[in-house]
Amino acid sequence: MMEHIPILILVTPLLSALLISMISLISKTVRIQKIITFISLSLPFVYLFFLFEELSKGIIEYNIGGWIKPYGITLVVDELSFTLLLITSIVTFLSFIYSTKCMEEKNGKFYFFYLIMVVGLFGIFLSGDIFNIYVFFELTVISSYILITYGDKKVSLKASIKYLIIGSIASFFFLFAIGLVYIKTGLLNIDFLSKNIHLIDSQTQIIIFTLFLGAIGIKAAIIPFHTWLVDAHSTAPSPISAILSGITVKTGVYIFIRVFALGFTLQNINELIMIFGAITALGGVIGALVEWDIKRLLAYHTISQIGFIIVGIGTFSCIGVAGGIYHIVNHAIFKGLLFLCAGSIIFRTGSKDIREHGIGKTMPVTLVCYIIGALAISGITPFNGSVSKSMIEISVYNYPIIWIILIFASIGTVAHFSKILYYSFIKTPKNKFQPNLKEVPYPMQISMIFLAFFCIFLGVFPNLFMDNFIFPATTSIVSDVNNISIGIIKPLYILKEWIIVIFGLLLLKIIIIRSKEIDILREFISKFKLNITIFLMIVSLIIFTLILNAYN
Amino acid sequence: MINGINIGIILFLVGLYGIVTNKNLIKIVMSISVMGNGIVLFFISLGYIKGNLAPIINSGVEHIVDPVPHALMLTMIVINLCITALALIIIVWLHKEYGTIDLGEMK
Repeated sequence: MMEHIPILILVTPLLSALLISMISLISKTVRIQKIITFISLSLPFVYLFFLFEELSKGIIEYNIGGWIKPYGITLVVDELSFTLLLITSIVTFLSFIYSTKCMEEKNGKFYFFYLIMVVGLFGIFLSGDIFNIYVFFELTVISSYILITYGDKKVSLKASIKYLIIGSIASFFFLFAIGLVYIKTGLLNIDFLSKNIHLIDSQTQIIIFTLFLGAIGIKAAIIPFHTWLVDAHSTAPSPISAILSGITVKTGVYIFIRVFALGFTLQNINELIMIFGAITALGGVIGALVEWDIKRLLAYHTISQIGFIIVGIGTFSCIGVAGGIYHIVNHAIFKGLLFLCAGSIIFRTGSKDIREHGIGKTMPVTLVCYIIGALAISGITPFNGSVSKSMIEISVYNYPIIWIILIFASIGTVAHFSKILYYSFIKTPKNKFQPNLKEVPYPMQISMIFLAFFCIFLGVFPNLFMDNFIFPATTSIVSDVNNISIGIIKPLYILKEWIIVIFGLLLLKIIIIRSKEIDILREFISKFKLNITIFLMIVSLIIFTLILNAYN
Repeated sequence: MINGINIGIILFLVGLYGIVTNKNLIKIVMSISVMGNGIVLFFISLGYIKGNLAPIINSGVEHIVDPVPHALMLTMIVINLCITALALIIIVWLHKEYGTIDLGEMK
């Protein structure tokens, strides 16, 4: 029984999904579907508890059907995948609790697709060969295409088809790269590939890496491959937005870490990746600058935070990769929290425009949770964002330009989260249309409170998570290991953080004064159509190839 | 040189061109299918070795073709079918909502 736990993680939600689809044929009550979903989403915590004990002895490998490693399908649990499995089970479970009240009017197959998406997410983090990653990724995205359409009907359909078109291009790039790897090495297993990838000649390596970058860039929404994300994440129902932004985008980053750790012997890829990351970090913030829609704002910030993670991993130093992985965890938690808060606000006011909210103190739990999430994403010291952000910033001290770009992105982040706070909660709108606002139902409150608790917990005790999971995961990826202990209180950092906050509030002042010019900028950005964005993606990939070619 | 791998790559690029230049959603879905078929052809022909036999273990069978890419492609074809079907369903819904299947005309 114990040795079959890796496959049980996948099988439990899969069978529950099957059960739900059968039950929905017989009875129309949603209650049974909710109970089954609740059980199958809480069981992974039990499995992960057992896996944690096993993991202390070494990396767990499970050969499906008993076929040994390079031939059969292998499930692998190391520290990196365990971290992501844990965070996935937390966020999906809490989003489910939230969705039980938020999605009340929908009774179709919502929970079926929800569970299939969870299977896909678990599968990506478990699988040990690159083709299975593709299969499970498709499982995830196909169910997300459907789940997005549960949002506001008219706009979400358009977002869904956009995501589908761009997502298919990403999958084909990924498959093409797998094919080239297979021609050259005859291997698909990640563990074996990492020992053989340096045997490929550098010209082919450039093409393989560019194709992987195209695929992963689209999946992880690195600028200029990001255009699908904002529409998809902002029109989906709020609990689904929390998962899409918290976990699904991170699967792209996870694949990126795996591919990057294969050990391509190319010159200057680290610097190029860091440039991509820095552009993404700043571009996401600039995109958020022009938005008044609360969910679009949060979606643009996801892009910006992905930029931070990519910069951290791109440095390929111990502290940078550790910071990047810790930021994946932290971002999953606080962005999930912020999307759930946004969902609560929309649930009560019925509007996505922050200028029409003006909630005041009528929703105290949402207000407190939102403030905690905003402080965490801005990187203020007692919260979790500060630890990982400061680690990433330390890792780029050798590259001052990238460091300055990251500081600017942080200033923008502070400005936008105080913008939401100012308009949604503090300022009273001109035409207040709902006088009797009250707090959201208890299940929705509970999910938000738990995520807010994790924000503080991971910020106050970073070493708990770091020493157990993230440093072992980093040491398996990066060769030069220097163990860095993370002190919580460092006066200089706190000073820097508050200077950033002051500049952020100044930027907010400018945004409020100059809102007319900002509207013009938004008109300009919305002119970019799907064809043009895909064309720009291809052009940037070609430029990337040419630059790599010049260096090698 | 005309072989499966090169034609697969050409089909892939043709599909990509189709996605970029078309605004009609049905044509974009067709381009996605063409791109996918290019990938299928690419994989199938990289497993094929001229003159070798099917990989069925039997006495006298020594030189066999590589069966792994063919097995991968069976999975990929199924996934591609799902995507195409889903895309067509969404296009039908979009036509109900907007009255058009042209991406440029949807407001």
